Formats: sequence, C-alpha cells, structure tokens
Amino acid sequence: MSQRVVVTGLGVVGRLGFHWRDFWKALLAGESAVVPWQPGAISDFPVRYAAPVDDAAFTAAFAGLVESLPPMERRSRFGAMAAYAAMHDAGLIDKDLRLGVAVGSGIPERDTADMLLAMTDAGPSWDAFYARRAQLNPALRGGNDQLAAVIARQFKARGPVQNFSTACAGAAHAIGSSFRMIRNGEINCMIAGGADSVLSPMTITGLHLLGAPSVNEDLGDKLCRPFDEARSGFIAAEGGAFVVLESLDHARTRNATIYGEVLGFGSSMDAYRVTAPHPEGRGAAQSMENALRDAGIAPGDIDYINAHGTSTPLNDPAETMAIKHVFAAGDHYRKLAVSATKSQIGHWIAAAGAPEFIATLLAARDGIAPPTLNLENPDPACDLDYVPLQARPMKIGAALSNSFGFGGLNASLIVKPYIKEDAHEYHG
Amino acid sequence: MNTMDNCTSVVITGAGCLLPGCDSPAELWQRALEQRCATVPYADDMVRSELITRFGHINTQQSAAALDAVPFKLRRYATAASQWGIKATKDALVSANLELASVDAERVGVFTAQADYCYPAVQSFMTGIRQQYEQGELDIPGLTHEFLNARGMDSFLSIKGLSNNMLAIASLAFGSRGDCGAYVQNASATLAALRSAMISLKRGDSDVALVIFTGSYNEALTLAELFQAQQLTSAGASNEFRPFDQARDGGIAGEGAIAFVLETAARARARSAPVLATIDGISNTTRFERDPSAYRRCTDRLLQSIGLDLDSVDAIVARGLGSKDDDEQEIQQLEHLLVDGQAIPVTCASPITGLVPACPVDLLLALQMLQHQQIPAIANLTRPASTRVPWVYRQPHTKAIARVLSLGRCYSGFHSAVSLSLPSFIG
Repeated sequence: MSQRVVVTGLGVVGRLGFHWRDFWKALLAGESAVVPWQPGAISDFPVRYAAPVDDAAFTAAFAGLVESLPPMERRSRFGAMAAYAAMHDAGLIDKDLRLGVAVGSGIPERDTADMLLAMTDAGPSWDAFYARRAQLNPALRGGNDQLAAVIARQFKARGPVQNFSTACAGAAHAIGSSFRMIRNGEINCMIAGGADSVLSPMTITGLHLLGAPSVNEDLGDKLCRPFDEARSGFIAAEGGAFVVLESLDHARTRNATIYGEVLGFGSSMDAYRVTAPHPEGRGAAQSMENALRDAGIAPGDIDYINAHGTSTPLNDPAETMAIKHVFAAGDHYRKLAVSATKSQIGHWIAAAGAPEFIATLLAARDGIAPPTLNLENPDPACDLDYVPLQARPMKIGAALSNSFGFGGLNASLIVKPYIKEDAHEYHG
Repeated sequence: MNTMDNCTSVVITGAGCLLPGCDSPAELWQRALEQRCATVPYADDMVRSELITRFGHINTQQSAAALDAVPFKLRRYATAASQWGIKATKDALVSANLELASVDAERVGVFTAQADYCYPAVQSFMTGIRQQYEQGELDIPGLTHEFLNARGMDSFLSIKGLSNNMLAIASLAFGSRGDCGAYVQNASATLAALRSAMISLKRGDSDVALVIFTGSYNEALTLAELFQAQQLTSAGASNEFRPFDQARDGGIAGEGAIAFVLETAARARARSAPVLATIDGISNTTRFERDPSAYRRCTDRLLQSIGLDLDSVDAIVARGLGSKDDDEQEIQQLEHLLVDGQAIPVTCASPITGLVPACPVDLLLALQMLQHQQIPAIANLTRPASTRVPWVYRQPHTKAIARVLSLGRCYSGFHSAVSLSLPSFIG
C-alpha cells in the first residue's frame, strides 16, 4: 500500500544563513549571497564572484558540534551540519528509529599537494605516494560517499545509505529516491539532501575551462541573473541542505511538525549532448511530465515552479520552452509563477536541488513565491512570469522544483502544503 | 507470496561483463569452474609500485574493444570505466535479444553504480604535477595558470570527474531518455542501482532498465587507504587471494564492469525474451560495530518480504574480501545465518577477478549457477577457516538450484542480500 510522504525537518547551511528560517527570510527579502571572490591565493583568476560560505560564521553557528567532526572535505562539513540541523528540527536527535540516508554529491575535492606526493625523479610511483601517506591531507582521505557514511554513523542509520551523483540533479534525485522508498513502504524515515563546493582552485578551473561560470565583471555582484538578457553563466557557490522525510503515519504517531507533503518525483535523461541541454528542453519537459504523472495531478494544479534557472545562456530558454510545453493546456504557463533561487544563492551544483526543494516547500506552505533577483531585462526567449526582484504572496496549491544536471540528467519534485484533513491518495 | 509468479516481478533478461580475464559471463563461469584466477602483476603506464604486486586489470585488448564500443563523438568525454560499462551493456543487450530501437526511448531507464574517484587521479594532473615537481615547490596559482593558459589539464576533466560519467555516456550512447539514477559507492551503490531499477519497472516508470556497474581501484588514494588498512595482500605475503582460508592475508584489488538488462516478467514473457533469473528481492543494513547477525538480519528481512524462509535457498555466494579481519567477521555472520544447521553450500567469486569496486561479480556468478545448476569451488581455498560453514572448495558441487542468495558487505559496514531464482516460466 502506498504511503503518503511528508517533510518534518529542514536544515540549511549556506551564505544566507545556518537555519532554514534565516535562509527563507533572506530569500523573501531579496538578499543575495554573491560576493567578490577569488580561489585560494590567486588574484587574477577569471572567475571573480561566487557565493562562498562565511567560514567564521559557520564555525560560530555550529560551535560545540563542528569541532567534533572527523577530517573531511569542505562540502561534507557543511552537509554534516545541515543534516544535524534537519534532524534536530525534526526532533529526531538520539531517537531510536530505522533511518535511511540519501545524499547528492559531486566532484570529489582533490588536493594537488597530494598528487605531488606521488612524484619521484623517475616519475610517479605508488610506493612513494604510500610512503608519504602521513603527509596526505587528512580531510580528503575519505571517499566520495564520505558524507553519506558520516551522517549514517552520526545518527546510527540502519536503513539504506545511498550516495547519488547525477551532477546538478544529485540532491533532487536523493530526495526523490527517498520519497519513492517511503511511499513503497520500504522505510518510514529518510534524511535526504546534498552538499557541495566547487570553490577549490582545481575544480573551479575545470568548470571555467568548460565555460560554465560567469566571468562578466561589469555587472558586479548582480551578474547572477537567470532569464535576463545579460546573463552570462552561473555563479559558483557552496553549501549543504537536508530534509527529513517520513511516512505520514510515522510523523503523525510522533506528533511531528509537518512542513508539507511530497506528491511526486520524475526523472529523465536528455540523451542529447554531454555539455548542453536539449535546446527545446525535451528532457526537462519529460522530467516534469513524469513528476506530474507520478503525483497523479494535472498540470493545471501547479501554481508555482522553482526553476533550475542557472543564468546560463543555454539553460534558461530551454527550461522556459519545456515549461511552456508541459503547461500548454489552457495556456496554464501564463498563470504560473516561476522563480530561480540560484539568482540569490548561486549554484550549489550537486546540492542545488536541496535548498531549492526547501524553498519550494516553504513557498507552498506560506503562500509566497520567492523572487528572481537581477531580472531587469528579460530575454525575449524567456517570456514567463519569473517573479522579478520581489517576493510575491500567492495561493499555491501545488509547486514543482526542477533540477537539471550536466550530461542531461533531470529531476523534478512536486510538493503541496500539508492539510490535515486531506484525503489525497496516491495513484501508484 | 512468492514473487516469482507475480506479474510485476522483475527478471534479468540480459547480462554482460568486462572483467579481468573475462569478456563475457560465460568466460567468468569457465574460470570459476576451473578456479583460474585472472589477477596479474600490477602494471600502470603512469605509476610504478613494488608494494602492490598483483591486480585484476582490464588488459589492453579489452580496453581497445571497450573504446570501439563507444560512439566516436563520445570517446573524449568517457572515462575508461565508462567505456567498459558501455561494452558490457552492449553485450547484455545482445544477450537479452533486445534491440533498444524497438523500445520507446522515454521508457528506457538507466541506473548506474560507479566506484569512487573514477577519473581525477594522479594521471589526470600529470602535466602540471611534473612541472611542479621539477620546480621543487608547490605553487597553486602557477599550476592553475598552467592549466588555464596552456590547457595542460584535460578540459573535460570536470565532466569526467562528475561521477555520473557512466550515466551520461550511457544515456547518449543508447539514446535512452527515461528514468535514471547514478550512485557512487562500493557495494551499496550496486544495491541502490538495482533497487531503483526495480522500483522504476514495478511502478511502470520504465519498460526496460539498463543497470550498469563499473569501477577501478587503480587510484593512488584509494589503494593507499586499502593497503594501509591491511585489506590488500602485498609482496612478501602469500601474494594470493585466499578468502576464507586460514592462510588468507588480504585481497587483490581489481577493476571492470558488469551490465544487466532488467524487465518485468510480463514484458519478458510478451516478447519471448531469454529470462536468466528472477530477482526475488533485495535487502540491506548498515552496521557500524561488529555484528554477527548482520547477514541474518538482511536475509530474514528479504525472505520474509517474499514469504519464504532459508530452507528455500539452495546456494549462497559470499563476499570474501580476503583480509584476516573482514573474513573473520563474514565467517561469523555466515555461521550465525546457518546456525540451525542448514547445509547450504557457500561459494565466492572474488579470487577469480580480484575485488572489483561497485561491480556485483557475486551476482553474476549466482546467475550462472542458476543456469548451469552447479556451484563452483572457491579458488585458493584449501584450509577453511571455519568448519561450521559448508564451503564449496576443491571441487565444484552439482545439485538442483532453484534459488541463490548473494550476500554482500563492504568496508563501510554495509551488508546486503539479493535473492535470485529460476524463472517460473521459460521465455
């Protein structure tokens, strides 16, 4: 029998705050996390703006907790604290339950100094690397799934522990997969989300060589402008965000606070190009259609979309076309509010789907759509209502969050406000 | 309820592999029967070692065949591991007698499991690292400029480093636009990919699911961690991979890829597909402390979910990591599982190929056991470390096999159980 799935805990760690309330308040106030930035000690790197976590504020916010973390990658530190915050918010710290963990993670951090340890006069040698292992950066010794393992250990999770890597759709896949497992009755409670940072010199260099981040300095900290004519690339960012998902019965039994209900999840592949989305958003449209079918609702039931909205030349018009295709019946796309949270927080890459899912959930709960910042001159190819510049109160019956990744990997999640008397039943 | 007769049960209709010494499941089977290990002296174009002496390598000919299997325009984006995965998947489709063109592209799901660090290894940064080494000191800004200005770094490194490389390349190579998932871990990634594929098929989100597993331990950081933890055998030791043997002293790492084609039993029946096995169910648990009951917990949960008990299992494929401690724990778990004296023969695939990360070699062997109604002996096992487990050693064991339990565990405390059975109909 299908279980209804609800969200009972939220945790966010990013430049806009270390508690979901601060994060949400900043989004609604139109604040931006984008600041002048250069990687490491490099003063003339072409990418000059990013949305980094404020390290001092992070350490202060989690004083007493962050010190106990084992050495781990930067992104994993953010993720571990975000997961803790979500579990704390859900009232599940030190509770004995069969918990599952699902994490979206991205490119592993590599330390060039570690690579250097492999070199000898005769060329690279594994034995030299091994002999010098004590010099390895201990924070980078863990595997790509280190965060999933740390969270599982921290909360003694006995259920499935999964580490997703679908690029920028990773966290959305983690949340979607968790939703499916709970709905199927395989488990009652999952903590799901993601953490990422692409701000190390080597990683940002790789992304820059692909031409992905914006290098337009003329717009200053307003260069993250999804759907705007002057957009020129994404803004690299970092952070961690997690949600606690439970079956409704499990949440009710323990009188948990419920933020909203997950209705559906869809995923798809573009099968078009490794480096570019399908120009008409074919895979994106299919992902949204799959989520709608999964939720058992009609396109007309959606009032708000939290777009992938990367501020790249290719994504934004393709996503617009996809939305127009999916919501064509009755010209419903004209009635939709669509906004891009990346305009405020930048691109959290593999983790991006998690803070955006939280924004979507809170938008539905509170009846207010967060804005798309810096949208001053919409691209003619981007002709939807993108909630420019200011948040907008509105009735939201159901909302959809999109996440699309490199390689053409797409994920869409649908949520609605939780209504106690709701008799909605899944069609699965 | 026996899910074999459930029309939404999931069956394996095709299998392919590119494993050390094995270009096909049939070759794996032959090696297993003959107890012929495929591990060879460690060799790497870029990295030398006298400590890591043996490895389960994909050889040059296999790599060339894998590269040929990848569409030309995708080759520069695909890691070696992804190339192996494409080759294995193509072979699995042939084995399934399935032309993907006959399936709606939006109904073909792809679910992948990859091992850690499939690309950003020492080799990837070689140009810059050599320069840095010759300079005698590390200069990150200088190195970054070298990469930026001289393009000394593969400009597709980020794409290759994104651990969804296998999924992205597979979706493009096969034109698949359906449901998807990509997992990066070791044994738990294999189970997650299988689980997602089964859910997708059972819910009707996909008609066909390609499940692709690929990975390599040939990466300095990963090898160092395993070696340091005494999980790999080394020069001066026996230099043989002897899981469950009293003389075991560590495993041998390896690399490779496996692919399965999954469909619902109803669809397989409708197209008269060659059904290799039914996946009865899967289960897993994570134990952070030593827990002799871990296998028992997984198995009980799995068998209860399909209304069966341990008596319905005819053979077990165990993991066999080969280190003193890991095998001791696994032996305790097997003894606990078989505590009521069930004489279920136990075998193991790992010494044949070496430990291949994120690849369920044990599941592939289980599939072959169902097809051939035989249980191969565990290679290199001469003096079992426990007399309470009915190991198959020295000689293969022939018996009627309707159901095989494949048990998995990895270094992180993850434990799993997958049950495969003969299909209840012949396609």
